[in-house]
Amino acid sequence: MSFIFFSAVFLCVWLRIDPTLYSVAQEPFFQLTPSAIMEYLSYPGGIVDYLSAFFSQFFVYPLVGAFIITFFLFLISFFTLRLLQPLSGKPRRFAAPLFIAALCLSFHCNYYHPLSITIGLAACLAAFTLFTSNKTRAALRRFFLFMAISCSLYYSACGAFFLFALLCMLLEILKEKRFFLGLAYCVVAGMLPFIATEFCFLISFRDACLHLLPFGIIGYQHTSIIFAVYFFFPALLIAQAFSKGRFMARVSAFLLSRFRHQGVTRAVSAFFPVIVVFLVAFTSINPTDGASLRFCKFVKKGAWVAILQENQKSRLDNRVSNFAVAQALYHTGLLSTDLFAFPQNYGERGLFLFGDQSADYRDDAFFFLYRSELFLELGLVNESEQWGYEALSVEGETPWALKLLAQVHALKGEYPAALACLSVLETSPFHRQWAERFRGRLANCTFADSNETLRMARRSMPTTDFIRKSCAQPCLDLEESVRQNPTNRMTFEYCMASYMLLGNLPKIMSITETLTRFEYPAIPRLYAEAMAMLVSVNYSALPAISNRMDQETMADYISFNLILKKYNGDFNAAQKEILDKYWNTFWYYCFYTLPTVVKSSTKKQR
Amino acid sequence: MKKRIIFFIAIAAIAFACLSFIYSTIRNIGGDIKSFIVVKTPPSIDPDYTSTVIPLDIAPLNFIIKESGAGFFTDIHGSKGAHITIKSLRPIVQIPLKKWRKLLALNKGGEIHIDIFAKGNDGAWKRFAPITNTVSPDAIDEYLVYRLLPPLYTMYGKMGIYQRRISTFEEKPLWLNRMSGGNCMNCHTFLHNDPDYMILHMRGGEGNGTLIKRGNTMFKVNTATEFNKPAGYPAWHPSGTIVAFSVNTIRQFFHATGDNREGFDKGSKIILYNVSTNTISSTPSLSDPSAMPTQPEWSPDGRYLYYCTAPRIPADGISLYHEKICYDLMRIGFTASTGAWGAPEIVLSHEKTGRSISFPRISPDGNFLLCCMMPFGAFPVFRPGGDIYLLNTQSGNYRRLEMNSDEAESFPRWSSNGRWFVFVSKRIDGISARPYFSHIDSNGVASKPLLLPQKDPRFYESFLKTYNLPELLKAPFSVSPRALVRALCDNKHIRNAQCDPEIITRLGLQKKTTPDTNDRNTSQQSQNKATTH
Repeated sequence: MSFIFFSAVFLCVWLRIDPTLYSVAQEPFFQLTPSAIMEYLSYPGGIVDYLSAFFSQFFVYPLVGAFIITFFLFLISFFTLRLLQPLSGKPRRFAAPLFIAALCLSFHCNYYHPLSITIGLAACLAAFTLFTSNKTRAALRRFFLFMAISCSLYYSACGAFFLFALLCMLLEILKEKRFFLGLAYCVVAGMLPFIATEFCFLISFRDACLHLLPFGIIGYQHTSIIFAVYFFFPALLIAQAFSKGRFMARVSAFLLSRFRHQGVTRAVSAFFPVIVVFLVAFTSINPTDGASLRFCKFVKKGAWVAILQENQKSRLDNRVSNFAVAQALYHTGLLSTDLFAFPQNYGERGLFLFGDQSADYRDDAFFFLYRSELFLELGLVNESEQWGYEALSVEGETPWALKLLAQVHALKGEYPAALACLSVLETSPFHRQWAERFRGRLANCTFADSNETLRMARRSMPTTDFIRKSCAQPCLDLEESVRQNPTNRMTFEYCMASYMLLGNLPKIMSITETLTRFEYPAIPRLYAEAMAMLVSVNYSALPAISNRMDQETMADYISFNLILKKYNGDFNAAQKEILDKYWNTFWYYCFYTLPTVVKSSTKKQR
Repeated sequence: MKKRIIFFIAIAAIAFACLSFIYSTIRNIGGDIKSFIVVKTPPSIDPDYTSTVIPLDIAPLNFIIKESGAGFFTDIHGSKGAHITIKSLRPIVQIPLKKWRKLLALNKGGEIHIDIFAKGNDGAWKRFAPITNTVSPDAIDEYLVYRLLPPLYTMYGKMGIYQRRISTFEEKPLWLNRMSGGNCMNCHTFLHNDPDYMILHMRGGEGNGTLIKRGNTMFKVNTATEFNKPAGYPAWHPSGTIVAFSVNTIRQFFHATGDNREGFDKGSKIILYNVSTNTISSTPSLSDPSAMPTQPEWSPDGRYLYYCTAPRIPADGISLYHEKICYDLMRIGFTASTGAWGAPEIVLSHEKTGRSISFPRISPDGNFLLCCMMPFGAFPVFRPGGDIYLLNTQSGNYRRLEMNSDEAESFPRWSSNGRWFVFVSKRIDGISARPYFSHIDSNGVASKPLLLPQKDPRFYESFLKTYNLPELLKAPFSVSPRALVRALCDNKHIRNAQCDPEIITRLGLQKKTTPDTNDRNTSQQSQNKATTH
């Protein structure tokens, strides 16, 4: 049964949860240097964190990632079983450990759940198994054993230790009937974080208590499961004590034996835990988080077609999806024609993945590197550098940040700075090869030759300095960049997209002047639609290129206006008919989506 | 059982054989150097500890030999005796601490020479020209305090203030922001390199405010009053009862090409905080809204306050005119007993130097003044052209020190005897600042700078954090990090600084009223209940 269960867990993690999304969400960085090890040893829980960093780096390989998670869930299940056996008094097989493992699997349905918490829980159960395997009755010996295990466990697994201490205390009080010894354990458990903060480690008391416990982490679909798992073990001890030893027999009979002996087929009994696993996996994943992270993964991989397919599939409409779709549209040559065929409810903020001006930047830290990568592609290397360093400051050194910064510094000709980033990367066995290869290319100045992004960025970099407006008005930076590099198509299209999303028609017209440089076979549809709006009001500063606008677009715009007229200018009444015919036009965006974008952005700024 | 014993003996024998082999291989390196080729140039080593002046009490100057070779032999010997030999297969030289100390002690005022031999792949040895360094008889202060943080733009994460013992590699954190909810920690300043007098500013969270340590007393002050916002750059008056602060409105903007960051002051003024009376005062010339006086520094006798100032430029035009903001070095007389101010006078103008002046630091004997100069602005750490200059306060002559590099040099600080100064420089990679020491003789000649040595000489290669605000200390800062955090987060006993009534009358300011009444009571109580250690 266990084999079937863990096979199901493995398949679920591999195919349903997708471990690669953990590496997207958490960006693990494992460094094999004495200073990195010392850093991890400088606080309680650091050892488990270091182990977790080691294992987490393999999450980029879905099969290995699935195996790692399954392995730790198996350990939890194994130690739970070891814990149950002596408590029940008889060696039996229980289904409860599998349920605990299934519940722990639900933790991993939150992509921000660190592996260290699972390892911490496994360590705690292993420690309790070790403690219960000691048969000595002498109180002092038991106390010293508890102390020794507690100190080691607290230092290596921090908050997870409290579960161990609670279990030991309950064991002494309820089973062994040694109230004072249990009380002594309680005192020790209370003292340890205090001693840690006051005398041993430079950490806050909160961290000394809660680190490696899942209670402060957000993103779990069912928070109650956390409590269920952590309270299961003490509840088990309490229940067993009050049911005078018959509790475990009853539980096991209910959970397992009944299936076996009362005529339910073996097949059902074997598939029961598998069903539980699937139930957990399908109900515990936050679909929005999963889809957003998939978009992020595809952006990192440059899988542009996959982004458009994912958008069709998930129908996600948030800043991340808007950002990813815009990039995918550019790379598939559709940005100037199909931008509004996809939801654009976040306007310019979606295009650049900027947060609300009013929001705490820190909430947005996850996206800094995506922004940095985009600006690198756009050739705005200083903007890219800034977001790279912001990410480094807030999130710490991550492989992606270091790689990006090495590339940015190389492009700027700041080779010593690029080498410094590479040196840090080389401390990680996982990223050493990339760093060494880049170092080699840097030495003979060929680093941009094999990388299309870098080659493009090098061509698009501004040549004359200007003061960046950055997140306040990125379109102005793009406009200046286009002025300096008039053949930079990506910057041009992003600049146009940006002004379209802002509904700034005069700006669109002024930049459209440069359209002839890009060898479009005809004026791209969305630009023509913007032109049509101004032609209809006899705008005085129309660019010369507007003569090349096809009459079909103009006719379309006239019929668009006729629909409005039909409803006496009542936008709401006309919306349904307009939506049917013009859902993917700039006109529809201007009249229906843009007001909502502006409204929501103003509201948030307030 | 027997099998097991045999197994363990076999393992032990193999391990012993391996260790013996490694030991004998290393031991043989250099043992047979009977003939060698003489190379006339000195070897390239990193950090560049060549032709420099070494403090008597510095940790071993470990280095990497940047020459190719299959084995290396390093002979370090002094002109007055003692020598250390180091053999290694790798080009890494890590000098034993005890032998190094003995070598320096014996060669005080003399020279030490480093002979490096490298073994070629053909087995032939070559000897490079010796490296010679001078051991200064002048001691350097034993401790260095600095802030370590990632290269910041607008956001910050982990940071900490650390204390490094210069004579060893011992580094200990004085305070990590993870202990106090991840706040930003700013300027830390000591009086005359004395750890008993310290000011520390913290921003954000419950620790928001300025911590002042005076002898055994430590308390937190809210320096904001009707007249000023919370204070920034501090400078202790030699009396230890007054602190000059500049109050700045610092902003940043960013360039599209080249150097990314640009810092500027939207406006600033200088205030005096009297620790005994808990009052803030100023003089019109230091709080003139049309000027931006900043970065105060007291003369060693306390009779003058040096500072930098520039005319204020409208904030909306800052991106257009920022290259025109140049600071002059000024000073103003002050009588501590009466609190009377003199007239401001120009010490060194930007018109004369052609560069903007910032961070003035006067030597303990008052004869020299170190300052940063750069093309414009007041933030040398952002400007690759930021250099350290030395001004002779007697003659008024100034010059750029030869030890500057093409990258930014900033935050110079004197040692207590005035024979050394520490500063940070981005000369290694242009992004992270590193601490350097330089010896300065009685004629004002500065030696080639010496990078703070690390146990692993490759340390700085993969260390992206930047060193900030280095301060030399005569003795260790002995307050425990926990006591420091407790004092900083103690908002019950915070002192709310009071504005001098003279300023309120002069400027017609509204005096702070309720709901401060409780705060004021608390403030009064806090003066009595100041945390002691």
